Amino acid sequence: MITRKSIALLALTAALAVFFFWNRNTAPSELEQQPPIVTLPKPPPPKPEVPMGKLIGEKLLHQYASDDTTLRDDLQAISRLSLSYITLVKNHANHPVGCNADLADAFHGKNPHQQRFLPDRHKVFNDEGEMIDRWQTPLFIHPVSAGRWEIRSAGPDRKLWTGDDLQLLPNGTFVEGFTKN
Amino acid sequence: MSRNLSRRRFLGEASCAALGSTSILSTILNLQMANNAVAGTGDGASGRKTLVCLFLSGGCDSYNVLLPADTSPANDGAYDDYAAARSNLALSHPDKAPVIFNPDAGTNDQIANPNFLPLNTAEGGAAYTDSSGRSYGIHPSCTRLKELFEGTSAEPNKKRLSFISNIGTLVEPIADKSAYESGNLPLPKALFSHSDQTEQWQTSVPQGQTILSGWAGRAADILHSRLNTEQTNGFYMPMNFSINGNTVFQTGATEGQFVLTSNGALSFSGPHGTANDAQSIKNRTLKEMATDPMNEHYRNLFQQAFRKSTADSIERGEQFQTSFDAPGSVNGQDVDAAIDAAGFLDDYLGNQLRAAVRTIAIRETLKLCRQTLFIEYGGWDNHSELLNTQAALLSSLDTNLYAYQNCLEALGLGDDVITFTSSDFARTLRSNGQGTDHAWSGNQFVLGSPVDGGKIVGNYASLAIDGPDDIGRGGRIFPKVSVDEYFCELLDWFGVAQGEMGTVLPNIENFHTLGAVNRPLGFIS
Repeated sequence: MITRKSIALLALTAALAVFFFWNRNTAPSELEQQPPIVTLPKPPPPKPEVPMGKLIGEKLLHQYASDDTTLRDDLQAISRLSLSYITLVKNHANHPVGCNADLADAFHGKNPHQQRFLPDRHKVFNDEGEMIDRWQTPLFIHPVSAGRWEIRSAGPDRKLWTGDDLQLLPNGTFVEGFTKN
Repeated sequence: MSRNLSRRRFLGEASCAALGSTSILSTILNLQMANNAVAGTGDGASGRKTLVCLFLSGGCDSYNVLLPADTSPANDGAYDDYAAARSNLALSHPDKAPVIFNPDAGTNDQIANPNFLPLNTAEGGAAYTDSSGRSYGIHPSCTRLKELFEGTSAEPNKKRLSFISNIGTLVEPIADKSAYESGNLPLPKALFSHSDQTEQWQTSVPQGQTILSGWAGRAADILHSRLNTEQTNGFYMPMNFSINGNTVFQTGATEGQFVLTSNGALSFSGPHGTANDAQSIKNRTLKEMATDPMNEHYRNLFQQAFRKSTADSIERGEQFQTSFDAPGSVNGQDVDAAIDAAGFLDDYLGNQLRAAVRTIAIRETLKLCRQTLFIEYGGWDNHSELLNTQAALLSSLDTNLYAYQNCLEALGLGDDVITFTSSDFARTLRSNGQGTDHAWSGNQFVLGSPVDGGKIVGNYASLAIDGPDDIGRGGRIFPKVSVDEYFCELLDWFGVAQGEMGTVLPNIENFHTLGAVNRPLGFIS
């Protein structure tokens, strides 16, 4: 026989079950919302400085005007750099090149892509920013067409248009001596 | 009957058709003209007109051809700016101490530069001044061009030469130096390079697109069938003649150019070789093959077209050569006698201009009411030496052009021939030691009786280094007059209608309002 006491006990048990069930789905308390306290790890010790990658011009001209190369090598290196320039800077014709200083500017990054091919200070440049040969004389850059230049060194006598001049044509052949453009 | 060509047969026949060699390429290209000059019912030609382009290839240093003479402070001492900019390459001023050219500092090799010749309003008259009151001088080698500019004391109104100053390739007008420096304006592609700028002068499309036609070619596309209406019954002669090989200048969409030499037409065979030399025998054989009427030899359309084109080209070359060799008389004047008496030099340009006179003189025989000629005169890329080289070139130019103009006038052809100069670009103002380098804007001149002579049109640039017209690198002047304006005026005279001008000169409306009462520059009467 069910007594009154049994009914009360049963009702209490049911109420407790409902209470615990209800509380299980409610939001966590404010205390529980606090972010956990995290102890940050100590910063790693600074890495040793990574050397900057060389610009393409530095790589192509790394032996420029050295004792291990010839004037022909020097002119070919400038030519290869020019070829890299017109290959990488597709709209290079928007930066017209009429002389040495124009091409030097382009290698310095004054080109439509603002892409630098040589650092400001490099042995191929003189203080005026022009490209010079191994005797410190500015190279003569003659624009034949867009992206095609004749490159002439004045030679050891440091005077253009004399017998010791050497000129590299866009087709890769050399012309020696006084031959005019 | 349908023909099913096998791949093998097609290749075989195509190979046969390719029997021509590259040595005859120019002759074969003359058959671009094989295109039909439709006998139109257009307005016909009210007269005959010839436009002659004299291309000074290499980039003429035109600032030593036409230079400022003014020393008055009112005009900012324009000569002084010139002299300072050019230093040892400046022509001396007749009223000032001479400029000394010292090619090798440290030696006594000092040479006084020659004086320029002042340009006057007439021979022995007052100094010419432009609308701004500025006076000018001309290179001392140009005594006869000076006369063509000024007229003579006997005929002071007979001025047949004018200059166009500060002209160059442009996509859009450049208002001033700051507009250029802003970098926001479209510029001609590959400024300062020979081939690009040469092409842009000849196409008048400086945007750097791949343009396969020149402005004279496009003009021929429009004018040849409309105005050269005398060509009927299968007679065909092109409108454009080049004395210097194939050029983009005279190549149109449908019209090409007839390439000749100073001795006349390029031909497969003919009077210019010995009868039995190898080339003549080869040419005769080719001709016989090409003109063989038995089409059995030519078994497909490709070969038949090739045969017909080759035969047409040979026939046209022979027709031209016959007239060229014996031009006869024009307006009652014997052409050969007039050429002999004109005073041409026996040099390259003299020979080219003799051929030009002959080609113009026979235009009626060739049934041409409109005709263009292209002459190229090279040697102006004077990096290494300017003064002596340019003096020699200008001396030949001066003597030969004077003879040419007088010859045309003696033949009664002066009133309908205009000759104009072009060049890759002008050169830097600053001396590089003995020469000058590539730049942009410069001066040109136009010659002929229809020209309103004795004028300098355009806006002559300030020649001050780093001045308002110099964009750097030692005096690169930017243009205030576009080549489109120059060509538009010539084409307007030549017969291209205003409504057609945009087809010939796609950029013209950036510079000139089509249909305007006045011509763009005003150098033609």
